[in-house]
Amino acid sequence: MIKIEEKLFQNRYRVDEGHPHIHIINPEVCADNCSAQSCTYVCPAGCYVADEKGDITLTTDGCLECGTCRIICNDHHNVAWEYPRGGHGILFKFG
Amino acid sequence: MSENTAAPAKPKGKKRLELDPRLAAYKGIWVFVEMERGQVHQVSWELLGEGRKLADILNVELGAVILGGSNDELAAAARSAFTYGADVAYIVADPVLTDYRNEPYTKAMTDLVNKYQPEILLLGATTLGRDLAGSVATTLLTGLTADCTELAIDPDNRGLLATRPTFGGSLLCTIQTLNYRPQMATIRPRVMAMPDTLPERSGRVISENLQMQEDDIIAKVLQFIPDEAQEQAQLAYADIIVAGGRGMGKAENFRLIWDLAAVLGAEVGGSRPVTHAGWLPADRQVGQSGKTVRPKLYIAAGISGAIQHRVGMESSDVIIAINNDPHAPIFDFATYGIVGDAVQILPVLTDAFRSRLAVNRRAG
Repeated sequence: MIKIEEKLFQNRYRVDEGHPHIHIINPEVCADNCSAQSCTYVCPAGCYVADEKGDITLTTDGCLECGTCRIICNDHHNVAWEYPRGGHGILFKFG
Repeated sequence: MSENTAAPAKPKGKKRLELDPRLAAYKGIWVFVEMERGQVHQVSWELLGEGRKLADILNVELGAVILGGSNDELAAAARSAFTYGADVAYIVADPVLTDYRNEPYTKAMTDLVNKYQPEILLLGATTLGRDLAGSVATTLLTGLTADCTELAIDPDNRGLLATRPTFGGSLLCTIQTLNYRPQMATIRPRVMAMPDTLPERSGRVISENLQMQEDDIIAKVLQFIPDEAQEQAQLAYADIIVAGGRGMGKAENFRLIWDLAAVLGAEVGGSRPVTHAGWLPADRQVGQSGKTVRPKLYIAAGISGAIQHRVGMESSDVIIAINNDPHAPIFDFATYGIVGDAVQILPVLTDAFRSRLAVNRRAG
């Protein structure tokens, strides 16, 4: 089975080092108040990963900038979502 | 250009060029011995080893070109060059060559080449070598292949086949200089093996003078400033790297990585999740969006080996993977794999290395 990161490797990115464009506003909300943790299921790039304790790790390097995580988090509005700065992020070739 | 008229079909995909008769006089292989502050860069010895093999194939002499300010240092370097396989040492000693400057070095090199006419000229692809090779090649109007990883001799025409990675290593191209001499190449450090020394070997020394005055040289060296970043991560130059990934569990466990690195005299690296979590500074990240490294030994502890990490370290000579998941992709390309918890295995490894190195030090 092909892993998601191998598929993401086919994409072109210019990672904005040190400036992640998405933040989890309050990590405790994810761990304690959110039972669904939908972001870990719907993100098409697998940017959100939950560990055993329920903490969510967000790695924005592979983000496709679709915006799904911002919309799906409508119970808690716990995702501060911005586009990457100009020239950064996913650079679709023959998109 | 002459085609073989006897055979109607052209040999597939190969251009045949007859070497200009004026250039047929060029014979021998030269290696530029890079010296900085009396220290010879190791790549020069690696190249002498490789040059020896090529010279034996072509049945020509291997020359070492040594430029610098002090006669004693050059003579010492020449003696070492002979033990590494050189037959002749071409020495130019002049005060203007004390510190590296492109102008006088280019002049010294091109004068030597024009006088003694070597057919192949090899330099190390260091910052110095890359700078010098470009100006020497354009002054001599000949071909240069930069940053090669493989050298061979074309059996058809005795030409140099220089192979180098291009497009970020996704393609290898083999380049020939068909009709110009010398054939020049810079070679990436640490690609060729260090040759064995033959202590009793010696050779001829040819000394030349540089026809250049200090006043003719535009560039002046005012001051030598040692690299202040030396205390920071030097992953690109490290011989050994110990790297940790998310499998280390938590930030505190990285102490085990640092311990092992201290015992081995190694640098510490990490994967993306680790630098993202702040367990390591970002300049220690290895992989696609971090540094590309090629140490002699890469120890990957708790790293799964995702493609984004793999592209940054897969050209290491030896890769040791420690991971508790036997299906982790890192085991597909690791030289040695240990299935187990890195947090338990690392301290044992550290102890084993420490006691082993202590014995070696006593013995040495």
